[in-house]
Amino acid sequence: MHINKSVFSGLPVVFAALLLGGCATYSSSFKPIEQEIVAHRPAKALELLEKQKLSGKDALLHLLNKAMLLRMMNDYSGSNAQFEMAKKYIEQFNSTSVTEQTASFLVNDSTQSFVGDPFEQIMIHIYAALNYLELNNVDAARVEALQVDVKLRKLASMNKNALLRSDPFARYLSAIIFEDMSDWSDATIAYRKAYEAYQAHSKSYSLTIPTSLKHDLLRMLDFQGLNDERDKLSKQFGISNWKSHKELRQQGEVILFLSNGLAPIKREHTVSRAGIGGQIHRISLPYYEIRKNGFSHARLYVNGSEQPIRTEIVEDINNIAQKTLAANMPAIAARTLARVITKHKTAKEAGKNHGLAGLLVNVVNVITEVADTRSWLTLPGDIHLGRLPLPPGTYNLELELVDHAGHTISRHQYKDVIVKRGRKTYLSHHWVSPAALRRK
Amino acid sequence: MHALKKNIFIMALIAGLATLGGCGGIKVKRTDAGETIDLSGAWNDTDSQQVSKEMIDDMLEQRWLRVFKQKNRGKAPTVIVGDIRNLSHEHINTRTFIADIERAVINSGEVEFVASKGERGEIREERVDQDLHSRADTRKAMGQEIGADFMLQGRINTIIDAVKREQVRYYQVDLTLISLKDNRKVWVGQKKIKKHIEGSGLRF
Repeated sequence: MHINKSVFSGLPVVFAALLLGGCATYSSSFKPIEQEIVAHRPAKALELLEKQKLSGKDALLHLLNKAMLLRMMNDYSGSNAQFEMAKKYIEQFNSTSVTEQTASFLVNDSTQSFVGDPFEQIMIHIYAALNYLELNNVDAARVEALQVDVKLRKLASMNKNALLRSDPFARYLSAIIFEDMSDWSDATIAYRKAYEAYQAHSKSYSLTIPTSLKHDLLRMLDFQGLNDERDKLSKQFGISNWKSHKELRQQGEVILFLSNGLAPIKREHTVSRAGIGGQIHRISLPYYEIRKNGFSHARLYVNGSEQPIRTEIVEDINNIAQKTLAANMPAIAARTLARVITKHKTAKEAGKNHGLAGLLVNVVNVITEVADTRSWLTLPGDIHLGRLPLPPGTYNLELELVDHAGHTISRHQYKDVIVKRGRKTYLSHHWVSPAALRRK
Repeated sequence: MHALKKNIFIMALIAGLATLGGCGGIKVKRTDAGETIDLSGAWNDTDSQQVSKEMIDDMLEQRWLRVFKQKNRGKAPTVIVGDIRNLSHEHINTRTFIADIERAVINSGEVEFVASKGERGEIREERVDQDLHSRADTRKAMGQEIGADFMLQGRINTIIDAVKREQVRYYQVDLTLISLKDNRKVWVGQKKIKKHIEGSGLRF
């Protein structure tokens, strides 16, 4: 009887500890930070992020979110310092840990070090490259393009799923960088690979191949003298007129990268059932909740001219994230099921010796069963691109963000944008609307 | 009294645990700068030093130097280091590489060396300042700079082949010495480094 009493007196402590430590999912803890982001106060969001102090197995989340917030504050070098640390972290923790694997088998998936999904790892290089372009360091952006190529080749050697082994925008951006550096053959190859990646992705979700890419590909093929391929694609695209390489070299070009809203957020779906022997079994699986993104497209005007260019979606992170999770789901579900069985056995064994101990183990097992909802939450839902060829000179540009109903929701001015002959001028912007807090 | 003793005991225990926990702190071991330490397989200080030294040694042994000296009555040529571009897969700090090259060239004593574009700006500012504030006998006049005869340019390239956790990194450093008078390339040097990196698939 004395033993029972001591077990009872310890019970509240155990409960309290578990409730404090294990129950809240990562995505729900991000809410206050998100609220500052939608209110366009990235500095305040960064303050909250620093207070959250994620480390150890969650350190990567901290680095990635910090990098994105610094970008929003126009601190591009600071942002890249975080991305470099993130790359090192992934390199170190990308291998399978024996202890974490065991813990994930016994407790839950969140006990593993977060290294991100392949698309998230690729996004690191994409945003690092955009930062370097913003800093006017095209050489360094090219380093990122080469690193992404190594990463994509590695992914291709490990995955059969077309969605997981290619990334259209990573290729497209690389091509733009190569072209800016006059690496014509590298640019042609990268444009071609981008086109192939868009085709591969369009099999998994609805996606339109950007018109600008079709023009880019035709221009480079034409310049490189790859006439058969050029004619075949020209027919396929239904495009017979494009700005030639020579014409474009006489001009400059403004390239606009627009990050739209916030990436989908992982939530958990939980089912609890009373099973054999009165035990409670709980299964928690993650799913993505798509957030409402601010604009449908944007228009870029030159000095109040009538003819704007319209941006196109070049990376649909919403869909890529969902399809990646769907591809990983069988493995996640299998691990969860194996864990429920193990947990059932441990509770049953404990219950054989003492009824109350069995109950206690069951309670602990149920409370610790949470889904892994960790993901890079400060990524946008999608990325838009606009290409605007212009004669060399200095321009004032106006950007108009347009919502799904066709209303202008926001305007931005770019003063004194310098366009140089044969070169590209890069502009980037991340716009998050308050609607991002709502689900789609 | 009993309660106090118990408290002291608990505090001692906590202090003991805290010290135990602190055992795994940062360890620093000082090493010689010449020692080769490969951590990640990326381009490091050893690569930078080795490549710059070997390439400059090669550059100074070649024909162009003798030809120049013959034509100019034994005068040593003046060289300037231009841009060394990083076209590799890594964010290489080309500034330390340029510094290594400059050191190797100057220490050879075979050629004269002039300050690069960035450095010159500061020195010119100083001369303008001297013109206003320094004593006449210590003042350095403007328009006395030595124009370089040759410019050293270069690029670092890499080829990476990777399968799963295995990687072969191949670095190629190309340096070119160009005559400023007539754009003639008088020397082209090349140095290659190959590294095989194997990452572990398991950790604790």
